[in-house]
Amino acid sequence: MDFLKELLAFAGIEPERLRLEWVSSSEGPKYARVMNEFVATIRELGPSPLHPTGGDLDPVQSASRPSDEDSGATDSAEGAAS
Amino acid sequence: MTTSMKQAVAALFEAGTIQAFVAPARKQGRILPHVFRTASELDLLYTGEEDGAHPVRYPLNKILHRVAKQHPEATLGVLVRSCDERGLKELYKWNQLDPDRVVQVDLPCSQAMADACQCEKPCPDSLLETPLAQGVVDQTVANVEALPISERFTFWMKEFQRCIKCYGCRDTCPMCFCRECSLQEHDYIEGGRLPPSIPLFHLTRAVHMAGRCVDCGLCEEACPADIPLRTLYRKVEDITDNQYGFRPGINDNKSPLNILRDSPDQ
Repeated sequence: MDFLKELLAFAGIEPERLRLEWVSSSEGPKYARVMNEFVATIRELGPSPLHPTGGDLDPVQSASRPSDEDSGATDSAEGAAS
Repeated sequence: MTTSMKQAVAALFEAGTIQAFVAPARKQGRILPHVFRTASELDLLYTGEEDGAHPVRYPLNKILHRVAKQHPEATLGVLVRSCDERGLKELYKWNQLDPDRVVQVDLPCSQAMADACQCEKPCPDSLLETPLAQGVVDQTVANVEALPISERFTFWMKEFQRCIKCYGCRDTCPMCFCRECSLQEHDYIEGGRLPPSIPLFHLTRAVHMAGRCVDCGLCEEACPADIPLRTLYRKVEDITDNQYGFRPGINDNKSPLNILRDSPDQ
C-alpha cells in the first residue's frame, strides 16, 4: 500500500484516492464509518484526473448506484496493483 | 581492449570452458547480437570501443537465457557490462539461469558512456578496484518530484500518450521473463486501442518492475516514442529500496517480492 501510494503520487494521482481497510462482516458501524470518510475524502479531492468529467454517472446524484462514488479511486488502485 | 578480450574468449574456447559465447558482432556491415561457436569467429567481435559514448547494445542476457534454455548442458560465455552483470545476478536469483553454466567476460564502460547513459555503476564487480569510470547521479526522478502533483499527471500523460503499444520495453527487458504478461490481459488493459489505456499500461509495467529493474536503460533505448521509462522505473526501485532495503543487481539477497521457490523449474 505504501509502495502504491508513493507510485501514484509520482505519477500525479493523489495517494488519498487509494485506501485499504480490513472490515469484518460483523463490523457494520466500522464499514459505514470507513465508507463515509472515504466518500468525504474523494468529494473533497473532486473528480479523479483519470476521469476528469466524473465518468458516465454523476456520483453525487445517482443514489441508486452509490458504489460508483469512488470509481475514480478504485480504477487507479486496481490498475496500479495489477 | 577488443584484442585482449578476443584473446581471453579464445582461451576459454580452447580450454573447453565454454561451448558458445554471446556478444555483439559486426556482420555484413551491421552490428548484431551473435552466438559465437568457435574462436575463429572472434574477428567479428564488437565491444563498442570505436563508438565512444554510444556503443550499440543488445539485451545479451535475454539471448543467453534463450540459448541456455535450448542447451541446458552447455556452459556459455557472455560479454558483460555492469548493467548486464546486475541483470545476470537477478536472473540467477529468479532461477532463470544457472550461474555454474555461465562464464562472464567483463567489459567496463568509459566515463563518456557512463555520462551518456546516466549510469550509477558503470563498472562490473571484478574491475571495481581499477574503474574506468565513476558513477553518475541521476536527476530525472528529482526533476519530476519538483513538480506539483497535478503537473506530474499532465507530464506523464503527455509522455504516455505517444505510446504505440509496440511492447518494445517489455521485449527488450532482460528481466521480463514471465510466460504470461499482464499487459496482454484484457481484464487489466483494454485491447485494440492506441494509445493503450494510459496511464494504466505504463503503471502496470512499473509495478511489475518493482524489485526487478536493474536500470540498464534498454527499454528507453528501444522506445520509439522516447517515453522516459527509466525515470519511472528508477522511482519504483527507489521506493523498493526505501521500503524493503533492496536494490536489484546491487544487493545479494533475493527480492522481497520474489515468491519463487529454489527449484529451477518454477
